[in-house]
Amino acid sequence: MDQTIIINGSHRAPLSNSRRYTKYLMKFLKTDSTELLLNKNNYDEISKELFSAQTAILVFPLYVDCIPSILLGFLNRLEKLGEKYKSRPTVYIIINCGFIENEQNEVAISIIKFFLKKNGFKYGGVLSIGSGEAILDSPFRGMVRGKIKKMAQAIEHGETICIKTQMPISKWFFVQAGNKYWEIKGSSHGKTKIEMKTMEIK
Amino acid sequence: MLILTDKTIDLKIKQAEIININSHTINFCTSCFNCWIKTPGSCVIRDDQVHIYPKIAIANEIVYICKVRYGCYDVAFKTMLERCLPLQQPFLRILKNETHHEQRGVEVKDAIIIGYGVENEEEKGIFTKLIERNSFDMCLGSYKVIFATETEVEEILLKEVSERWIKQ
Repeated sequence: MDQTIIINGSHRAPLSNSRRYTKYLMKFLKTDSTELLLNKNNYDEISKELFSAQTAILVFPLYVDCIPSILLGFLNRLEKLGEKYKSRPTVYIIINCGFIENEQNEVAISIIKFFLKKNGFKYGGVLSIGSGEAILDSPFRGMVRGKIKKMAQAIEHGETICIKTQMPISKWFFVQAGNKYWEIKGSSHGKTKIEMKTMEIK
Repeated sequence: MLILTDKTIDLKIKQAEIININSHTINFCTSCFNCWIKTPGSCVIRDDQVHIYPKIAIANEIVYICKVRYGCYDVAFKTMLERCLPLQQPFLRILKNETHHEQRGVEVKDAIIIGYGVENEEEKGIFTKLIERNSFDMCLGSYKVIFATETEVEEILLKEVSERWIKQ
């Protein structure tokens, strides 16, 4: 039976937005799929699962303009272990950027594609999400769900796909809403906006 | 001048502090965002990185020496950069028509980035693009990306810092 695995490459995998995207994807996939959460101690275990799967989806946030180091470490390990395995799954990507512009994901996508090509994996495609930390709690969540559904269909049919999405609002409005969000978040921890804006680094 | 490296550098440069990140314990960022909302400007993981990021903040001449993997920094270097989150505020701004974070007290930097271990032109292109992206949130006002073999690194480092900064 075809096996599909979804690997969460977020540093806070159990509590991540990547996990919320994974839940949607699993809901829309008609075939069985398994969710795996990366941590620094399970690289070998997850590598083994990946090499026996037909399809793998990497779900992760943009972090410092590229892929999270926990995922980078996993790719290093995969490359090393890959010598022992002949089969390679087709790999898809779901990447979410906290900033509004999905274009900010492009370098991270290039990095994954470079790794896949170097190591003989087939690249299946990408869902590139801008405003990815906010969109699921906004009135635009239906948009991203629709894109995930489209991606699930492509995965099932083994099609190559490239989808991009982000909130259809102005950058100015995104900044205002984002800043309000963080102000409230800080306030819930007893921090004022002025305290959060401190210039001091220690 | 601050030099951050993931390989041993057997050089003494009077004007520079050299930090080999592999000689330090730097754990993964956990994306807790406490450095934004609970202890602004300060990381709650009190490992060696808490001594490094304040130095990055005040440096106005900085060198990165790092192995390049798939067009990205290798894991140790990338981990160190991710742990620089306290240098930024959670609050957003529009910079060059893109959304980015506001900075705390971070000096604008002139930077030299020496990447070693690249495999081909495609990988060089990805890494160069990555540095261009990083320049926004890392306050790199100007920078130069240089590719080298691992054995060439020290010679290039000496030449570049001499020409760019020491002779000034």
